[in-house]
Amino acid sequence: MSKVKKVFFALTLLILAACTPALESVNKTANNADNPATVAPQQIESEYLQWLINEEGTFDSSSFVFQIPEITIDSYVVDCINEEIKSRFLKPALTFMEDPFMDIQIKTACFIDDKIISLKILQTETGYGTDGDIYTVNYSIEHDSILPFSYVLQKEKITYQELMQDINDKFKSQNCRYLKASSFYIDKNGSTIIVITSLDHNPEIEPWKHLFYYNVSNKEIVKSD
Amino acid sequence: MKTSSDRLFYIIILMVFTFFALTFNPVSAVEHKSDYIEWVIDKEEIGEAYSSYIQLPNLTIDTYVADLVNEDINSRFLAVAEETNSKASIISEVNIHDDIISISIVCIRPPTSAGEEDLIETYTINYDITNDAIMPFGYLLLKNKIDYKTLCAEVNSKLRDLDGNCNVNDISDFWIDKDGNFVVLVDAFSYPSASESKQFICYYNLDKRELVWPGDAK
Repeated sequence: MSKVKKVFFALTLLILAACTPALESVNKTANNADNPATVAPQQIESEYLQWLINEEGTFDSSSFVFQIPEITIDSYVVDCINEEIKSRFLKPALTFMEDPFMDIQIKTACFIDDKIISLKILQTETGYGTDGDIYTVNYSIEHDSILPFSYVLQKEKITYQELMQDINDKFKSQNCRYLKASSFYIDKNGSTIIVITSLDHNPEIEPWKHLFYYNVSNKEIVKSD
Repeated sequence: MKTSSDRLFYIIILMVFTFFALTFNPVSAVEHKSDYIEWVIDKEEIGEAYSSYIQLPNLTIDTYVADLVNEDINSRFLAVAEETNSKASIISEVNIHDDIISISIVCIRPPTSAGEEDLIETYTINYDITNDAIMPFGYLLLKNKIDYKTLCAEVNSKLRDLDGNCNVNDISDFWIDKDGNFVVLVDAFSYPSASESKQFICYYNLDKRELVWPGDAK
């Protein structure tokens, strides 16, 4: 990528961070024939969600995927959600554009129907110490509120104790420490997925934060992708 | 007819009664927000070797979202709270600022075997009365005009001032204390070079810019 394009792309990101412009403008950049290093990797077909940035490509010798969404509903709760998304993920994107010393991926998975918007955003980098920085949020369109963990219990008709027991049983053989069912999201099939974090530390190496996904419907664990 | 010395006597009795009521009832130290909060369990157990306090709040508001808040609290803590002789303490604090009911719960369970430490579980939730909504972490970011990554870096720096081998694991919950200060729940870990890493929980008072430990936050 030429220096001019590099500056152009960095400026685009800066403007995004400051003004939160609409999806259309970002897609125009992604589809720009003069900018062959980037493509739009994923489309969202929903009136409730749009991309802040939706591009992937290479920058110097490093590769990047940036899928950073925002919810388009006009409410204070949504403003708070969007603020956290921008604050957590747009800044690393900017940092990458200033100094692309490693590969970076910020990928979004979403489930949207008339009642709920469920988002999972995962940031992974070629580095050490963690499977990634994960953010999930579940927003009820009907009630204009985020949904707490008890929503899972209602949806899946299970008690908290039963759920934790199931999870602990699944991890018994995996030698994981400090298991924490930290959050949840709804996947594209409508299944409820619990995000589980664990911390491993062999004294001879650096500690590592692992991510696992537990599908409540079929009680299966999937390792972080 | 009462003399002035009688009146003085009654006033002194009243003052002594009030003093004892305020000083020796541990529950009175917690602010009861009777309009919006009811205590599902509010008891003290005094054993020979231990004392435990169980305080479990619920919202009295009759909405779907408030019901979810109550279920969130009860599903995690009610079984422990109702267990007899569990020796667990569940200490709750409820504060209301700017129409946000902020609930913080700390559950402390004694170790099951010698050499282990207390098991500490923390929980926070923030409910907006006016909008009947649970507030996300971004509420703290917006209100305090602070960037998430800046906040993480700040907490990391404070942790490393204490111990060079400490790191933030996760920051995604908060509550508002009785003075209206925003307090961040910090999931952190230490990794001493000679032994295995250890996860721990602490708070970061964003207004005072200082780390606080569960139990000292009140």
